[in-house]
Amino acid sequence: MNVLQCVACNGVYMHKQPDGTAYFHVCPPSVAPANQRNENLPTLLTADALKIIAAGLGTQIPAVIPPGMSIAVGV
Amino acid sequence: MESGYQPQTTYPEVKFNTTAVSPPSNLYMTREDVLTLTVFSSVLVIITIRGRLLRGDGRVIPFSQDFTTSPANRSLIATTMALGEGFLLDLFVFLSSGTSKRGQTFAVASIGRGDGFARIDHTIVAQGYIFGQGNLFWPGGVYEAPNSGNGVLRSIVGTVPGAGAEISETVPTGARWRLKTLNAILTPSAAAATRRPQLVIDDAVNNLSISPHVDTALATVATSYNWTEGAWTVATIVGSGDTCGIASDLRLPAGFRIRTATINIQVADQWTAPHYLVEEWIEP
Repeated sequence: MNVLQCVACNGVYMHKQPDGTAYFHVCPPSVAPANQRNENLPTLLTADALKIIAAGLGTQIPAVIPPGMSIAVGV
Repeated sequence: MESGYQPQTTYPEVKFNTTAVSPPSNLYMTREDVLTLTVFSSVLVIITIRGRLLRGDGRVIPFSQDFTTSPANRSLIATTMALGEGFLLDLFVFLSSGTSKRGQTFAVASIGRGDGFARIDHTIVAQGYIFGQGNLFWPGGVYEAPNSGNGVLRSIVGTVPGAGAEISETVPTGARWRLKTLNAILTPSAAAATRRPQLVIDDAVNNLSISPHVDTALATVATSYNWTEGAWTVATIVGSGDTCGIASDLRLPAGFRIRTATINIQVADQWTAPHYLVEEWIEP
Protein backbone atom coordinates (compact mmCIF):
# COMPACT_ATOMS: atom_id res chain seq x y z
CA MET A 1 0.00 0.00 0.00
CA ASN A 2 1.56 3.30 -1.09
CA VAL A 3 0.28 5.99 1.25
CA LEU A 4 1.19 9.58 0.51
CA GLN A 5 0.56 12.87 2.25
CA CYS A 6 -0.01 16.05 0.33
CA VAL A 7 2.22 18.89 1.51
CA ALA A 8 -0.32 21.50 0.40
CA CYS A 9 -3.40 20.32 2.32
CA ASN A 10 -2.03 17.53 4.60
CA GLY A 11 -4.50 15.13 3.06
CA VAL A 12 -3.44 11.47 3.21
CA TYR A 13 -4.29 9.12 0.39
CA MET A 14 -3.38 5.86 -1.29
CA HIS A 15 -1.80 6.35 -4.69
CA LYS A 16 -2.84 2.84 -5.74
CA GLN A 17 -6.38 1.79 -4.98
CA PRO A 18 -7.28 -1.76 -3.88
CA ASP A 19 -8.53 -2.46 -7.41
CA GLY A 20 -5.11 -1.58 -8.83
CA THR A 21 -6.05 1.71 -10.46
CA ALA A 22 -4.28 4.98 -9.75
CA TYR A 23 -5.89 7.59 -7.50
CA PHE A 24 -5.68 11.29 -8.28
CA HIS A 25 -5.63 13.55 -5.28
CA VAL A 26 -6.96 17.11 -5.48
CA CYS A 27 -6.78 19.49 -2.56
CA PRO A 28 -10.16 20.61 -1.15
CA PRO A 29 -11.01 24.12 -2.26
CA SER A 30 -11.22 25.46 1.29
CA VAL A 31 -7.58 24.58 2.00
CA ALA A 32 -5.62 25.14 -1.20
CA PRO A 33 -6.15 26.98 -4.50
CA ALA A 34 -8.86 25.38 -6.54
CA ASN A 35 -7.83 22.39 -8.65
CA GLN A 36 -4.33 22.14 -7.27
CA ARG A 37 -3.27 18.61 -8.12
CA ASN A 38 -0.60 16.30 -6.86
CA GLU A 39 -0.74 13.30 -9.18
CA ASN A 40 2.93 12.33 -9.45
CA LEU A 41 2.19 10.68 -12.77
CA PRO A 42 3.90 11.37 -16.11
CA THR A 43 2.02 12.39 -19.22
CA LEU A 44 3.00 11.67 -22.82
CA LEU A 45 0.96 14.21 -24.72
CA THR A 46 0.90 17.97 -24.42
CA ALA A 47 -2.90 17.91 -24.32
CA ASP A 48 -2.92 15.65 -21.29
CA ALA A 49 -0.26 17.67 -19.52
CA LEU A 50 -2.35 20.80 -19.91
CA LYS A 51 -5.23 19.13 -18.13
CA ILE A 52 -3.22 19.16 -14.93
CA ILE A 53 -3.72 22.66 -13.63
CA ALA A 54 -0.80 22.67 -11.23
CA ALA A 55 1.96 20.29 -10.35
CA GLY A 56 1.35 20.53 -6.62
CA LEU A 57 3.87 21.03 -3.88
CA GLY A 58 4.98 17.44 -3.61
CA THR A 59 4.34 14.68 -1.14
CA GLN A 60 5.85 13.09 1.86
CA ILE A 61 5.31 9.48 2.80
CA PRO A 62 3.93 9.08 6.31
CA ALA A 63 5.32 6.29 8.44
CA VAL A 64 1.97 5.38 9.94
CA ILE A 65 -1.33 4.95 8.18
CA PRO A 66 -3.60 7.46 9.97
CA PRO A 67 -7.00 6.57 11.41
CA GLY A 68 -9.66 6.63 8.78
CA MET A 69 -7.43 5.23 6.05
CA SER A 70 -8.52 1.69 6.88
CA ILE A 71 -10.26 -0.01 3.99
CA ALA A 72 -12.77 -1.57 6.37
CA VAL A 73 -16.30 -0.51 5.55
CA GLY A 74 -17.79 2.02 7.96
CA VAL A 75 -21.17 1.63 9.63
CA MET B 1 -17.06 -55.03 -73.72
CA GLU B 2 -18.78 -51.76 -72.70
CA SER B 3 -20.95 -51.90 -69.62
CA GLY B 4 -23.61 -49.67 -71.09
CA TYR B 5 -23.79 -47.73 -67.74
CA GLN B 6 -24.75 -44.13 -68.23
CA PRO B 7 -23.83 -41.90 -65.21
CA GLN B 8 -26.74 -39.72 -64.05
CA THR B 9 -24.86 -37.58 -61.42
CA THR B 10 -26.21 -34.05 -61.11
CA TYR B 11 -23.43 -31.49 -61.03
CA PRO B 12 -23.77 -28.07 -59.36
CA GLU B 13 -25.13 -25.40 -61.64
CA VAL B 14 -22.95 -22.67 -60.07
CA LYS B 15 -19.34 -22.51 -61.07
CA PHE B 16 -16.63 -20.52 -59.30
CA ASN B 17 -13.51 -18.92 -60.63
CA THR B 18 -10.28 -20.37 -59.28
CA THR B 19 -8.08 -17.88 -61.11
CA ALA B 20 -8.22 -14.06 -61.34
CA VAL B 21 -10.53 -14.00 -58.32
CA SER B 22 -11.55 -10.53 -57.02
CA PRO B 23 -10.47 -9.79 -53.44
CA PRO B 24 -13.13 -10.50 -50.78
CA SER B 25 -12.45 -7.21 -48.98
CA ASN B 26 -12.98 -3.60 -50.01
CA LEU B 27 -10.47 -2.35 -47.47
CA TYR B 28 -7.47 -1.73 -49.70
CA MET B 29 -4.25 -0.50 -48.13
CA THR B 30 -1.34 1.08 -49.95
CA ARG B 31 2.26 1.09 -48.77
CA GLU B 32 1.68 4.55 -47.31
CA ASP B 33 -1.24 3.42 -45.15
CA VAL B 34 -0.83 2.27 -41.54
CA LEU B 35 -3.06 0.39 -39.15
CA THR B 36 -3.26 2.25 -35.85
CA LEU B 37 -4.59 1.09 -32.50
CA THR B 38 -5.43 3.99 -30.16
CA VAL B 39 -6.11 3.02 -26.56
CA PHE B 40 -7.37 4.78 -23.44
CA SER B 41 -6.96 2.60 -20.35
CA SER B 42 -7.12 2.92 -16.59
CA VAL B 43 -5.47 -0.47 -16.04
CA LEU B 44 -2.17 -1.98 -17.14
CA VAL B 45 -2.89 -4.83 -19.54
CA ILE B 46 -1.51 -6.34 -22.74
CA ILE B 47 -3.65 -6.17 -25.88
CA THR B 48 -2.95 -8.30 -28.94
CA ILE B 49 -3.79 -7.19 -32.47
CA ARG B 50 -4.11 -9.91 -35.09
CA GLY B 51 -5.33 -10.08 -38.63
CA ARG B 52 -4.64 -11.12 -42.18
CA LEU B 53 -3.60 -9.19 -45.26
CA LEU B 54 -4.15 -10.39 -48.83
CA ARG B 55 -1.15 -9.26 -50.89
CA GLY B 56 -1.17 -8.49 -54.59
CA ASP B 57 0.67 -11.71 -55.34
CA GLY B 58 -2.20 -13.66 -53.85
CA ARG B 59 -0.46 -14.62 -50.61
CA VAL B 60 -2.34 -14.19 -47.32
CA ILE B 61 -0.04 -12.79 -44.67
CA PRO B 62 -1.08 -13.04 -41.00
CA PHE B 63 0.15 -10.40 -38.56
CA SER B 64 0.18 -10.16 -34.78
CA GLN B 65 1.44 -7.54 -32.36
CA ASP B 66 1.25 -7.11 -28.59
CA PHE B 67 0.64 -3.71 -27.04
CA THR B 68 1.02 -2.71 -23.38
CA THR B 69 -1.33 -0.02 -22.07
CA SER B 70 1.25 2.07 -20.31
CA PRO B 71 0.84 4.56 -18.71
CA ALA B 72 -2.51 3.36 -17.39
CA ASN B 73 -3.93 6.80 -16.61
CA ARG B 74 -6.62 7.04 -19.30
CA SER B 75 -4.46 9.22 -21.54
CA LEU B 76 -4.14 8.51 -25.26
CA ILE B 77 -1.55 5.88 -26.21
CA ALA B 78 -1.18 4.39 -29.67
CA THR B 79 0.75 1.96 -31.78
CA THR B 80 0.97 1.81 -35.58
CA MET B 81 1.65 -1.08 -37.94
CA ALA B 82 2.78 -0.67 -41.53
CA LEU B 83 1.27 -3.77 -43.14
CA GLY B 84 2.25 -3.09 -46.74
CA GLU B 85 0.07 -3.14 -49.82
CA GLY B 86 -2.95 -5.37 -49.98
CA PHE B 87 -6.48 -5.99 -48.81
CA LEU B 88 -7.22 -6.28 -45.10
CA LEU B 89 -9.20 -9.51 -44.69
CA ASP B 90 -9.91 -9.44 -40.96
CA LEU B 91 -8.89 -7.87 -37.67
CA PHE B 92 -9.10 -9.16 -34.10
CA VAL B 93 -8.12 -7.14 -31.01
CA PHE B 94 -8.33 -8.85 -27.64
CA LEU B 95 -7.07 -8.86 -24.06
CA SER B 96 -4.13 -11.24 -23.90
CA SER B 97 -2.75 -10.50 -20.42
CA GLY B 98 -3.98 -8.77 -17.30
CA THR B 99 -7.47 -7.97 -16.08
CA SER B 100 -9.75 -5.38 -17.60
CA LYS B 101 -13.44 -4.89 -17.05
CA ARG B 102 -15.87 -3.10 -19.32
CA GLY B 103 -15.29 0.60 -18.82
CA GLN B 104 -11.55 0.37 -18.22
CA THR B 105 -9.91 -0.10 -21.63
CA PHE B 106 -11.30 1.57 -24.75
CA ALA B 107 -9.65 1.03 -28.14
CA VAL B 108 -10.03 2.37 -31.66
CA ALA B 109 -8.57 0.58 -34.69
CA SER B 110 -8.15 2.89 -37.66
CA ILE B 111 -6.39 3.18 -40.98
CA GLY B 112 -4.64 6.33 -42.02
CA ARG B 113 -1.53 7.85 -43.48
CA GLY B 114 1.43 9.40 -41.76
CA ASP B 115 2.74 8.84 -38.25
CA GLY B 116 2.47 10.46 -34.82
CA PHE B 117 0.76 13.84 -34.73
CA ALA B 118 1.05 14.06 -38.55
CA ARG B 119 -1.09 10.96 -39.05
CA ILE B 120 -4.44 11.46 -40.73
CA ASP B 121 -6.95 8.68 -40.14
CA HIS B 122 -9.45 8.13 -42.91
CA THR B 123 -11.48 5.20 -41.65
CA ILE B 124 -12.38 3.50 -38.38
CA VAL B 125 -12.23 -0.28 -38.63
CA ALA B 126 -13.50 -1.06 -35.12
CA GLN B 127 -13.91 0.66 -31.75
CA GLY B 128 -15.14 -0.34 -28.33
CA TYR B 129 -14.19 -1.64 -24.90
CA ILE B 130 -11.79 -4.52 -24.55
CA PHE B 131 -12.29 -6.72 -21.50
CA GLY B 132 -12.36 -10.35 -20.49
CA GLN B 133 -15.44 -11.23 -22.53
CA GLY B 134 -15.35 -8.34 -24.99
CA ASN B 135 -13.17 -7.96 -28.07
CA LEU B 136 -12.91 -5.84 -31.20
CA PHE B 137 -13.22 -7.58 -34.50
CA TRP B 138 -13.79 -6.75 -38.13
CA PRO B 139 -15.71 -7.50 -40.23
CA GLY B 140 -18.93 -7.98 -38.31
CA GLY B 141 -18.11 -6.11 -35.12
CA VAL B 142 -20.14 -3.24 -33.66
CA TYR B 143 -18.96 0.30 -33.05
CA GLU B 144 -19.30 1.38 -29.44
CA ALA B 145 -19.18 4.87 -27.99
CA PRO B 146 -17.07 5.14 -24.81
CA ASN B 147 -20.01 6.34 -22.70
CA SER B 148 -22.37 3.57 -23.85
CA GLY B 149 -23.47 0.51 -21.92
CA ASN B 150 -22.34 -0.44 -18.46
CA GLY B 151 -19.22 0.97 -16.92
CA VAL B 152 -16.93 -0.59 -14.36
CA LEU B 153 -17.97 -0.48 -10.70
CA ARG B 154 -15.17 0.85 -8.56
CA SER B 155 -14.88 0.99 -4.79
CA ILE B 156 -12.62 3.94 -4.00
CA VAL B 157 -10.94 4.98 -0.76
CA GLY B 158 -10.51 8.72 -0.99
CA THR B 159 -8.28 11.23 0.76
CA VAL B 160 -8.28 11.66 4.53
CA PRO B 161 -8.55 15.44 4.74
CA GLY B 162 -6.50 17.45 7.19
CA ALA B 163 -8.03 18.50 10.50
CA GLY B 164 -10.84 20.97 9.97
CA ALA B 165 -10.87 20.34 6.21
CA GLU B 166 -13.64 18.90 4.09
CA ILE B 167 -13.72 15.81 1.96
CA SER B 168 -13.12 16.58 -1.71
CA GLU B 169 -12.90 14.01 -4.50
CA THR B 170 -12.44 14.92 -8.15
CA VAL B 171 -13.36 12.95 -11.24
CA PRO B 172 -9.96 12.16 -12.83
CA THR B 173 -8.90 13.21 -16.30
CA GLY B 174 -10.22 10.86 -18.96
CA ALA B 175 -13.05 9.44 -16.85
CA ARG B 176 -16.77 9.87 -16.43
CA TRP B 177 -18.28 8.87 -13.07
CA ARG B 178 -21.72 8.01 -11.82
CA LEU B 179 -21.73 8.31 -8.03
CA LYS B 180 -23.74 5.54 -6.40
CA THR B 181 -22.90 5.64 -2.69
CA LEU B 182 -20.58 7.44 -0.30
CA ASN B 183 -19.76 6.77 3.35
CA ALA B 184 -17.56 8.71 5.75
CA ILE B 185 -17.27 9.25 9.49
CA LEU B 186 -16.98 12.65 11.12
CA THR B 187 -15.31 12.83 14.53
CA PRO B 188 -15.96 16.30 15.95
CA SER B 189 -13.58 17.97 18.32
CA ALA B 190 -14.52 19.02 21.86
CA ALA B 191 -15.69 22.40 20.59
CA ALA B 192 -19.43 22.76 21.16
CA ALA B 193 -21.36 23.09 17.93
CA THR B 194 -24.02 21.25 16.00
CA ARG B 195 -22.39 20.09 12.80
CA ARG B 196 -24.54 19.19 9.82
CA PRO B 197 -22.69 17.70 6.82
CA GLN B 198 -23.86 18.30 3.27
CA LEU B 199 -22.76 16.44 0.17
CA VAL B 200 -22.03 18.87 -2.65
CA ILE B 201 -21.50 18.11 -6.31
CA ASP B 202 -19.99 20.92 -8.38
CA ASP B 203 -18.23 21.59 -11.64
CA ALA B 204 -15.24 23.10 -9.80
CA VAL B 205 -16.91 26.51 -10.03
CA ASN B 206 -20.67 26.21 -9.51
CA ASN B 207 -22.57 24.01 -7.08
CA LEU B 208 -24.87 21.69 -8.98
CA SER B 209 -26.39 19.65 -6.15
CA ILE B 210 -26.43 20.00 -2.36
CA SER B 211 -27.70 17.17 -0.15
CA PRO B 212 -27.86 18.07 3.56
CA HIS B 213 -27.88 15.08 5.87
CA VAL B 214 -30.66 14.56 8.38
CA ASP B 215 -28.19 13.60 11.13
CA THR B 216 -26.12 16.15 13.01
CA ALA B 217 -22.88 15.58 14.91
CA LEU B 218 -22.22 16.90 18.38
CA ALA B 219 -18.88 17.46 20.12
CA THR B 220 -16.67 14.33 20.31
CA VAL B 221 -19.45 12.03 19.04
CA ALA B 222 -18.19 10.17 15.96
CA THR B 223 -21.04 10.00 13.46
CA SER B 224 -21.24 7.96 10.28
CA TYR B 225 -22.82 9.49 7.19
CA ASN B 226 -24.15 7.75 4.08
CA TRP B 227 -25.44 9.18 0.84
CA THR B 228 -26.96 6.86 -1.74
CA GLU B 229 -28.23 7.39 -5.27
CA GLY B 230 -32.00 7.66 -5.29
CA ALA B 231 -32.42 7.22 -1.52
CA TRP B 232 -34.81 9.43 0.43
CA THR B 233 -34.58 9.97 4.19
CA VAL B 234 -36.61 12.76 5.78
CA ALA B 235 -35.94 12.11 9.48
CA THR B 236 -33.27 10.73 11.74
CA ILE B 237 -33.71 7.02 12.40
CA VAL B 238 -30.60 5.94 14.30
CA GLY B 239 -28.60 9.15 14.48
CA SER B 240 -25.48 7.60 12.94
CA GLY B 241 -25.35 5.60 9.75
CA ASP B 242 -28.63 6.90 8.33
CA THR B 243 -28.75 7.24 4.57
CA CYS B 244 -29.70 10.34 2.62
CA GLY B 245 -30.23 10.62 -1.09
CA ILE B 246 -28.35 12.08 -4.04
CA ALA B 247 -29.58 12.56 -7.59
CA SER B 248 -30.04 9.42 -9.66
CA ASP B 249 -27.95 8.71 -12.76
CA LEU B 250 -25.79 11.77 -12.25
CA ARG B 251 -22.89 11.31 -14.69
CA LEU B 252 -19.97 13.56 -13.94
CA PRO B 253 -17.21 14.42 -16.42
CA ALA B 254 -13.57 14.93 -15.53
CA GLY B 255 -12.92 17.83 -13.17
CA PHE B 256 -16.31 17.72 -11.45
CA ARG B 257 -16.11 17.36 -7.67
CA ILE B 258 -17.84 15.38 -4.95
CA ARG B 259 -17.23 17.05 -1.61
CA THR B 260 -18.63 17.76 1.81
CA ALA B 261 -19.63 21.17 3.10
CA THR B 262 -20.25 20.81 6.83
CA ILE B 263 -22.29 23.50 8.56
CA ASN B 264 -20.54 24.60 11.78
CA ILE B 265 -17.40 22.52 11.13
CA GLN B 266 -14.71 23.31 13.70
CA VAL B 267 -10.95 23.58 13.12
CA ALA B 268 -10.11 20.30 14.86
CA ASP B 269 -12.94 18.21 13.45
CA GLN B 270 -11.74 15.18 11.50
CA TRP B 271 -13.32 13.36 8.60
CA THR B 272 -12.21 9.85 7.71
CA ALA B 273 -11.36 8.89 4.16
CA PRO B 274 -14.57 8.64 2.15
CA HIS B 275 -15.43 5.20 0.87
CA TYR B 276 -17.49 5.52 -2.29
CA LEU B 277 -18.81 3.42 -5.12
CA VAL B 278 -18.82 4.81 -8.66
CA GLU B 279 -19.60 3.48 -12.10
CA GLU B 280 -16.82 4.61 -14.41
CA TRP B 281 -16.46 4.99 -18.16
CA ILE B 282 -13.53 6.16 -20.28
CA GLU B 283 -14.07 9.64 -21.66
CA PRO B 284 -11.33 10.49 -24.23
